[in-house]
Amino acid sequence: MQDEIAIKVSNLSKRYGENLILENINLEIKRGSIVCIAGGSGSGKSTLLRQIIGLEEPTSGEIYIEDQKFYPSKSKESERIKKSFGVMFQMGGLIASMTLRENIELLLRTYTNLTDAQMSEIVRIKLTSVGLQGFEDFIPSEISGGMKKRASLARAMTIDPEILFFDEPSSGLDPITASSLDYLIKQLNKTLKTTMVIVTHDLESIFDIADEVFLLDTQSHTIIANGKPDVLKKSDIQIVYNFFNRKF
Amino acid sequence: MKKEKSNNCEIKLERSDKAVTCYFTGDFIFSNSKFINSYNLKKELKGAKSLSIDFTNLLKYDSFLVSWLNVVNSYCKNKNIEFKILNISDEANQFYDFLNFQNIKEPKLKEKKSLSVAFFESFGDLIKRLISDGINFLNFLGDNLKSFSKVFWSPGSIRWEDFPNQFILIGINAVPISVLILFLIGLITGYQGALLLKDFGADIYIADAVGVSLTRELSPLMVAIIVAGRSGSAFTAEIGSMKVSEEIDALKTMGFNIQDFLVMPRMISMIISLPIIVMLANIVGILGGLVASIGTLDITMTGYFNRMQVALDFNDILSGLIKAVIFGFVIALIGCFRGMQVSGGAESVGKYTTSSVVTSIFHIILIDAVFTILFPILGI
Ligand SMILES: Nc1ncnc2c1ncn2[C@@H]1O[C@H](COP(=O)(O)OP(=O)(O)OP(=O)(O)O)[C@@H](O)[C@H]1O
Ligand SMILES: [Mg+2]
Repeated sequence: MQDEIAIKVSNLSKRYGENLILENINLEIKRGSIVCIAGGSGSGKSTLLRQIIGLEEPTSGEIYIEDQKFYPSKSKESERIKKSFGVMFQMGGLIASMTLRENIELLLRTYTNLTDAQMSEIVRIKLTSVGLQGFEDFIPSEISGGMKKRASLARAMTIDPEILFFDEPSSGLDPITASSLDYLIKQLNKTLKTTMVIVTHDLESIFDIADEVFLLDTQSHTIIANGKPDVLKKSDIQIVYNFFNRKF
Repeated sequence: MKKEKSNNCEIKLERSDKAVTCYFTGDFIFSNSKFINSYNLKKELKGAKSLSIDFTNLLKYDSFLVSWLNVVNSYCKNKNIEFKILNISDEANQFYDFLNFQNIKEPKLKEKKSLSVAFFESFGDLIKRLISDGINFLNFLGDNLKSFSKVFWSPGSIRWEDFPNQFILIGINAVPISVLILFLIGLITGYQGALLLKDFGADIYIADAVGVSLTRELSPLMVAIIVAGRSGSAFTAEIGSMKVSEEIDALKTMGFNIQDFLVMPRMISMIISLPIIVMLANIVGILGGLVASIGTLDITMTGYFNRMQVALDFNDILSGLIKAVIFGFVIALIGCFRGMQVSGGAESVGKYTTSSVVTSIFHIILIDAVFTILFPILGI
């Protein structure tokens, strides 16, 4: 059970016009694991994430989710698979005209048949789990940047997705909030068995939570190393060693 | 015993005297919420003293289970029914606890108010907002006039680089649509006037009717409304999004004066372009009147233009142009002011853009009415 593959990407390449961003990416993410995608700024981490969650189409390559072809595939099938994703965007992506409650209820109203009382229970539970209890009736512009990120996480895990994606969850957060977010990610992973895919270059958080890291390289546009963070820290490859030891 | 079944879950109910036991089998997950919620537990609980829920055969579960249990739990508390959860696996129990009892702090709910209190409060808020709106506007106007005076005293402080760009956007690009609309308005005025004048045999006075009504009223008013919709709204949206993305704050900290930097180029372009558009609109509108009169009345083109020379006074045209200048000032002022009022996120930009157009058009018509009374007194 532990070792089943949740996400498989094979030979994925992406160009924007003439501009090659990702080349020949291969990766496998085990179900129920916490995986970090790391790399320098501009190395294409967000781009890779956008391909995997189906926001953009790769130039070539294939993506499988839970053994089912996600790309290329029929739109109906991929729509169904997308519903099992939760995504926490770099900027939050909360709907600005709606309160946090409405942001969360939007999903519940669309995909489930909950009563009003059950919905407000879910809203309360989810906001509490990110430390935002009591902010149900605030709109995004009334809360801080870090709070927006946490609210975005609450929304991403509303209907207990099987896979949660994060784009830079800890950027812009104070160390305490960042580490409490890490703790939350670990707890969710343990109790809900959610697969977590985290794009980040926060080393501390990588060493803290990652079961496996994939390192993207800006020069070669591909993954140059993967494995446990502690192992990569002792890597023989100079770039990898430098990245995990904060050297340049 | 009652039994309900769906494809992957089942609810069984046992009742002995006043104790109800509910056996749940299968998946207690979001996608089964329709089936689970269609089961009317409340009805079964009538007169019961205790409710036990047995999870021996629970397979999958997610947050839905927790919300369901919490709702049932508080219902039972209300009705004084004893509530018990039986045979739940350790794992599920941990999950329940994790979601339910994590770092619960003092809730910080916005308090709910009674309807009448809320009504008076929102009324008070409205008045307060109107007053502070007014004060802010006067502030903005003051700053604006101060900047405006720099055009004459120290023109170097104003950002003229932006001026040609704005002039093209506001002036030149608005010409085609304005001219088209005013041609049609001239045509309509001419046609309507012709119907009346024909009855009196006063055909030739059509030139008076078209010329005066266009140059004094219709041209400046219509052009101002078109430009308010096109460019006034654009000012608000532009400046508003700059505010949202902290560009305005950045400019301020770098020591730029927002009035000189953003408002003046727009305002001056507006004040210069509006009279020019109105002049063009006058010409085309008069041509529209000509087409209507030749088509319906017994006059020639030469006759029309000869009469137009007699009928149209320099004051008629001048008064229209004075209005155009004032309208231009008002549109730019309100457009930029509303833009500066934007706060928070993108939705606020939309709100103030709408309000910018509505406020501009209202003030244009109000000022037009004032001038209609004022000009005869001043002898223009
Ligand atoms: N829509 C686009 N069109 C063209 N180029 C793009 C586009 N999106 C991204 N890029 C390019 O792709 C490269 C990788 O961008 P990406 O946002 O994936 O970087 P990143 O690894 O997430 O960086 P960061 O850590 O700064 O977020 C950059 O060089 C960027 O210029
Ligand atoms: Mg990025």
